[in-house]
Amino acid sequence: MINNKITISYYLSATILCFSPMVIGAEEQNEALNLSVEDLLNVEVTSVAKKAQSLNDAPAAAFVISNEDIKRSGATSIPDALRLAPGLDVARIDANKWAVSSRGFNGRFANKLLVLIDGRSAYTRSFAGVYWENQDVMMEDIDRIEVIRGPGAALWGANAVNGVINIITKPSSQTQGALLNAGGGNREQDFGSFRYGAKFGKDTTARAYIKGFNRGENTHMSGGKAGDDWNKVQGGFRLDSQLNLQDALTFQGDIYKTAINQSSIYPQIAPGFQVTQKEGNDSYGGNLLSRFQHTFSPSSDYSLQLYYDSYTRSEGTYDDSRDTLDLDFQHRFALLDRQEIIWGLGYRFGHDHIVGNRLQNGSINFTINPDSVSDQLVSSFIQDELTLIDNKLWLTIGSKFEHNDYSGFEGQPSARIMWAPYNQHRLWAGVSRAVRTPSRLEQNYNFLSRVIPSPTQPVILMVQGNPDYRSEEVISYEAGYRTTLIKSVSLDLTGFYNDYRDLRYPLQGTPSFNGATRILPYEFTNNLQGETYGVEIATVWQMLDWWRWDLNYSWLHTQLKDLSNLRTGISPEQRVSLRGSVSLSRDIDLDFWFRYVDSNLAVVTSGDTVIKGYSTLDLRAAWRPYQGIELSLVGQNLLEQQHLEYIGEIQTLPTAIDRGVYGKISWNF
Amino acid sequence: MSKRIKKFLLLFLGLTLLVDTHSPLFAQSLEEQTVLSALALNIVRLTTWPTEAQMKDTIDLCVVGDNVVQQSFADIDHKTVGNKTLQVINLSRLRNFEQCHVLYVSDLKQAILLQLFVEIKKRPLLTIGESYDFAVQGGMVGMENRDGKITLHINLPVVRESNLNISARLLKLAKIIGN
Repeated sequence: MINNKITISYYLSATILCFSPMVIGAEEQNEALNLSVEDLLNVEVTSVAKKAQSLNDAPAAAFVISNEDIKRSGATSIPDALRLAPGLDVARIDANKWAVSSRGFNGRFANKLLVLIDGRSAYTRSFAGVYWENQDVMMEDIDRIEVIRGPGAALWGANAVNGVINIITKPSSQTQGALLNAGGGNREQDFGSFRYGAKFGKDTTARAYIKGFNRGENTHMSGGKAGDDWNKVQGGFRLDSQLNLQDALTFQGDIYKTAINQSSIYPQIAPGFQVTQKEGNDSYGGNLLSRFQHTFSPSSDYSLQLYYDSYTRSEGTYDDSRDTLDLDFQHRFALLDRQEIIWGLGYRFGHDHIVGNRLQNGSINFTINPDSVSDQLVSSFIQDELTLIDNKLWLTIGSKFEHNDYSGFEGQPSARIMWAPYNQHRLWAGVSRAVRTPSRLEQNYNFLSRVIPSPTQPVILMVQGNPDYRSEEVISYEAGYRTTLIKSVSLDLTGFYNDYRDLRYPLQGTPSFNGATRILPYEFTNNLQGETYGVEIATVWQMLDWWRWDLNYSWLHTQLKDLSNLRTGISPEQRVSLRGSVSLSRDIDLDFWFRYVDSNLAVVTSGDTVIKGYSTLDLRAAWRPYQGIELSLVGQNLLEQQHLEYIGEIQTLPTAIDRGVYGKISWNF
Repeated sequence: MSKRIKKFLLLFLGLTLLVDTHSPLFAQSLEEQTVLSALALNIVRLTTWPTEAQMKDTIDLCVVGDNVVQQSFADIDHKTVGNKTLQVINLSRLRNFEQCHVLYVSDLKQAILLQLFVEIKKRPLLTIGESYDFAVQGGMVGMENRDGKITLHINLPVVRESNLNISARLLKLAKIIGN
């Protein structure tokens, strides 16, 4: 465990440094006001300090990861880029699997974080989570990633219990021309991407892209190659058209195919009681989305969005394929002088097909009944933002109402207040209710989770879905403070207390005997209660025009009601991320990124395992020798040969993530 | 944390204390938002309003922007413009434009911006924005950061339609859109 005092003292010393005289000239304003128009048009301007000064106006724990942040971090995937946000717990299980959560309860099958890519949900009903290995975009085309910690259910709907992630790509008008990327290294073995954007007529722009990569294998904790190498090819397009002064249309889509290798461990009833097998699994999918927007006036508009998404993910034990059709309507308008109303309606139709696969030893560990289901979700929401005092005090109240086929009707209200006593200070507080609706597996599957060896009578632990399994619920209390202490320093502080009810708890049922074996069933129930509380801090310090610091710290405490046989992972208590971005000249960038993650508890089939805390460092150097060309060299996880971040709940052998180095060339033309 | 990491952190915190603020790389430079608000003040000074604008003692400048933009405009609040005083009003909603003589828009979605121009069309309201597109799409003055310097774009037909008059001195410094 980490010594708290050390972390806190480093954080304090960094904050105290901010008050040293090294700040951007305060007399600049007077200087500018004394210049003539001619001089003002001749002076060199810098906009680097903007990030240190902008305060988010949302009454929520919101954080924005910009395109520039992603580029300078050297991150090559969406989950790795999410490490830039405070409060998010991102852990790589192996080369092709991640565990991502907000405010605790992490796991590969973490289920309390909603993820949207350009308005399309990446959250699957199958296990109530995200297949991160399936989610990708052209990283260079990301405009921003909005990370909202805490419940977002009043606006976004169920499953936004502990957070919402919105990945937003640039409109095609901002990605014109060609961009070619290519590179390689030891872990990022080889990768390339090409995007081309063009204009069609006066009001229509479009782009198309294709990308691919090979990622190398890591190392098993027990030694030896992990066999977790994988590759992916993905292509897509986006078209944006301004039909007339009031109407705009967006049409976009992606298609991908992945080949994933892994070596997995499964329980078996036969002597030996567990078996490892090497697998090559395929995954493929695609989506099509269209969005029509009509603007009545500067304060009123509506949008209508329709998308279709399909994926098939093969695993050693099961195949999961799902088709989703989603229709979404939103309308925003001003009411009287002081209110802005947003309301919306949504309908989602899903159809899945899930089957258990025979392992290489001939046994089947996973069954589901029925193997195919069609489900529907009908939802509506309304939110009212009231200005109580102009430019000073706002109240936002709203609720989502929805009906789904798994838990019936759900109401998820929220109330938030924000106070801006001065321009550079924002205080906010909120209380909200959110639910995590049951997954298909939780209600319908049977899974052989473990065999306890015995020469006479082995015991089989069988996890059983429960058709009566209900939603998990949270009541969340949050408060935050944002300020630009001085012109070059901003601070974002959030505290929260979450009260959970009806969390998942596998309850031991009556044992039964089947010949030489004893079967111990565990049925999902909503018997677990718990609470979490914590603090999240994000600071930006523009120390010099050409040197910026980003320091994030989060502290999380998870307290679950003491039950025997607890089967819930506990996320790290402390996380630190310190990033320095140095622009030595207009053509040279140097970045370093230090991270510390506290120890955490992973729930795996072989028992609960404590994963040690780790520190790691990424470095990036970039040089732009000619206009449009950038060469960069990135080192990832440099402090150790390899380190363990997380162990998957099922099947994955503990895999340490190796140190990686890659080089990249980007050509914009 | 291990000793190695402690050393690493100390080294970096120490380094930051040693570095001098005034990098030769960015000498003679000013922060963009500061320059934009100073420019806005100058543009107002070089504009005359028709009598129909019914100006009294103040020229009311409405600002649509985040806290950074608002803060930079706070510094030009109450500055004199001829025999009048500039008064900065922060708009939190895109409404009640009739109270403004100048509208400064930092950043808005294109669809909303287009509707805003429709709504204030032909009014004696000087509109200033932060891009070339702002002026092309129907705004009056667009201030574009082009390779580290601000370039002015003025949409003359829109200015004339609103019966505003921008001085020749300013027009000479700007790129003109329209005839």
